[in-house]
Amino acid sequence: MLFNSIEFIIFLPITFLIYWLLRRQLRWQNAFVVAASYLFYGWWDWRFLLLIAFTSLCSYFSGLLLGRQTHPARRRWVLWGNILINLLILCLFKYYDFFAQSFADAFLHGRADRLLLHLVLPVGISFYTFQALSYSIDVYRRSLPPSRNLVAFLAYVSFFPQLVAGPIERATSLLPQFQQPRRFSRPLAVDGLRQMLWGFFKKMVLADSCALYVDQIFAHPDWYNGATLLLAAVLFTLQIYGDFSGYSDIAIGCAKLFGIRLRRNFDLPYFSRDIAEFWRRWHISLTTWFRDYIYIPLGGSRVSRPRVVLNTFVIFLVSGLWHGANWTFLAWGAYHALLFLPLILLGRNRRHTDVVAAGRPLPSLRELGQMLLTFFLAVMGWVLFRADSIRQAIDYYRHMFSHLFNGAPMVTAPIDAWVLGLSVLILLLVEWSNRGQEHEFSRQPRSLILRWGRYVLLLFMIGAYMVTNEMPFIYFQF
Amino acid sequence: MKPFLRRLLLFLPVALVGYVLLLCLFGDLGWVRTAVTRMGEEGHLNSRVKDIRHYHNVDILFLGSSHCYRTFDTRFFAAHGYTSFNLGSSNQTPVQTYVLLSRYLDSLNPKQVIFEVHPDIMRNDGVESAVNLLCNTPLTPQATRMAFSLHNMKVFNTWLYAVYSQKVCHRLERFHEDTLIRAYRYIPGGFCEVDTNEFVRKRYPPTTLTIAPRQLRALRQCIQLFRDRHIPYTLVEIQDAYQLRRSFTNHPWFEQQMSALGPYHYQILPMVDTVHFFNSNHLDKPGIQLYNQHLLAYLDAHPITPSPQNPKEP
Repeated sequence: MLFNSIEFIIFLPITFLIYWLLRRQLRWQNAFVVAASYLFYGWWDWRFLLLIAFTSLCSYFSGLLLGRQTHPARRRWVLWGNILINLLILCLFKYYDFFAQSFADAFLHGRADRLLLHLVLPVGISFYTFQALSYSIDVYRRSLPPSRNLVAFLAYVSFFPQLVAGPIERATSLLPQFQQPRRFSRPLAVDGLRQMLWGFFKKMVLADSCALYVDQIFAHPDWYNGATLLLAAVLFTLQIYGDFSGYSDIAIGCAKLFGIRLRRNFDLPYFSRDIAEFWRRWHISLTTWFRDYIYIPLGGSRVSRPRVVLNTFVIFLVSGLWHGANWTFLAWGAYHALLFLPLILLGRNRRHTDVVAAGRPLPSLRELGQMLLTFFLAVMGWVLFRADSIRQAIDYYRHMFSHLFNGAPMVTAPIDAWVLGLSVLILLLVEWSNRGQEHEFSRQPRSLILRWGRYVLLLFMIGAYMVTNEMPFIYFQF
Repeated sequence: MKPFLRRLLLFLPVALVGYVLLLCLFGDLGWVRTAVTRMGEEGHLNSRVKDIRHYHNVDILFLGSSHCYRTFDTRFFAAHGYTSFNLGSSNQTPVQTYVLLSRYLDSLNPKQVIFEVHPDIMRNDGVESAVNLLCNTPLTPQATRMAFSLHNMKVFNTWLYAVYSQKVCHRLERFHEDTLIRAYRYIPGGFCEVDTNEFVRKRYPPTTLTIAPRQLRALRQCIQLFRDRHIPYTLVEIQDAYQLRRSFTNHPWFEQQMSALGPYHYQILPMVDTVHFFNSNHLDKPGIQLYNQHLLAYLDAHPITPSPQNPKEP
């Protein structure tokens, strides 16, 4: 089920009401969360419910075993057993065909017909697998006692708002919320609706409008001049942000309606002053997952310089590969590793941990320059991410830079340029004015009329300017 | 919980009223072009439904999308002894054809129907055509039902704006559509004439044709209307330019599906893209001439079968 679908508009209020009617019976309330989440997921393809149930049960029972075992070697075996099972499932569905095709390209002259399985990629498999894995690792590390409550655990893995595209939650923060009774909080629910509204705007107006243009240009980059290609790359940068952070906002806001707090996933990444800051603000739940479960166990930055280089590359390449089975994602990871390395080697990767232009309405010229440069570097990286192949990406760059001054950008796609311009302006104004807030639409005027006026205006923007075809979220495919 | 729900229930009507007011305001200012197509845009549907009042008991009724109203020249058929009316409109899919037929079929009372079917139209969601229909024809309960059945926000917005524009401001009756819109000239009887030929060769990726279940259902409903009135009909597919035609990987399947619904006619005529086509899927003047001659020959070769149940036939 998509958030931007009629089914969800019906599903959400019904689920909300039943959920709070069951507030005095925790077990039933959690069971209802599991049932609603499985319905939400199964709407797409019910067969993959078996997969999510299997993943959940593996992690649940491995947690119980880890809790009982005291012998370090046996505990390690249990942990690795669970990691292996989960990663095997993930690799089978997500990466098998890619590696089989690459093998065939290298050794069988591309004849991979007999090797390929053509399996359908289950929506959100990377998200819930990582969430389940984080539980096992945390129990192994004794940061968390094993859950004996199967229903609460199933609710933790399958909680529908964040099931298919994150944020990737940690058991340490989400599981305890399912283990204790929730109380309805009106301010939290109101804030949740507000955050959802902002998320819908980013997805349905901004991202989908950009997508119409971007898809057309990326389909035939050789037909357009350099300025058009640059504009398409910039619009894809906005599209992927609007799409993914929009999804995260809807998910977090939706969870608030159920009295559940999810972690922040995006913190104004395009206002970053360098790439290190960008990665602290982009897809935070994934980057911290990699940091805590891969980078730090590898030694992080407190090892020899060659190991730091290696660790940085490992983390970015794995991150690239997590996004999809294509060389373009690996190249995207490598590109960011190259941008990140000088900062970490010079010890300048934590220079910008504060809010940009804190206490000032506008950034300084230096900050503006830093933000624009970081944005430009991100734009160049997104070309790799969006391209279908490395060859297409190279051609795109070549065409873009060799024909950059060959005329103005062409606007041939079915977009209303001013709607897009207005959306970007609203995005910039709202996000800039909410720096340092809990989310980008937190700060609201005290006057009810002004507040409701803003909501109605945003609802109108969504209703009147949304792209009306149901467009799936980009990150569903990951 | 209760105060939250109370406040939410209070907000919803406020939001709805605010939404409608903003839509009407922005619509009037022309700031919601993407959401609300206004009156008198391409396709001349507005002129056509005003013109239709003068036509009764025609020999042929043409139905379909732009392929229809840009191809079937009613003057040509008149010159050969057939009275006709062309009720085609932009992107018209069977869902909208059904609404138009329910409104005008009995007053037109045709002796036969030529129903243009095109693979692109049969897999179309019907949104563009619905918007066109809502803006340019009187709002009826059936049009409202059609608008709501599409589950599309753009159509819903257009319907809202049409209610305001037609029922509150009475603009539709006062509106006079230009005879010439862009390069298209409206000819009484429903045909639209275009003088230019700007054919540009384009490449099309291979496309596997599908038929939207909603369109198939609507097409069957239209056919049922003809059958109930004993009106003979023919489903006709007009050929596309070569590159577009060959991009359809399973056209025989489409032909099979259409043939199952009744008499279906599709023939590739010896046409040259740069000579007979205005663009990849529309014929230009020489192409129209050639195609209409062919259709006329087809109609002459397949006269309407007299049926005792059909009082309209000789």
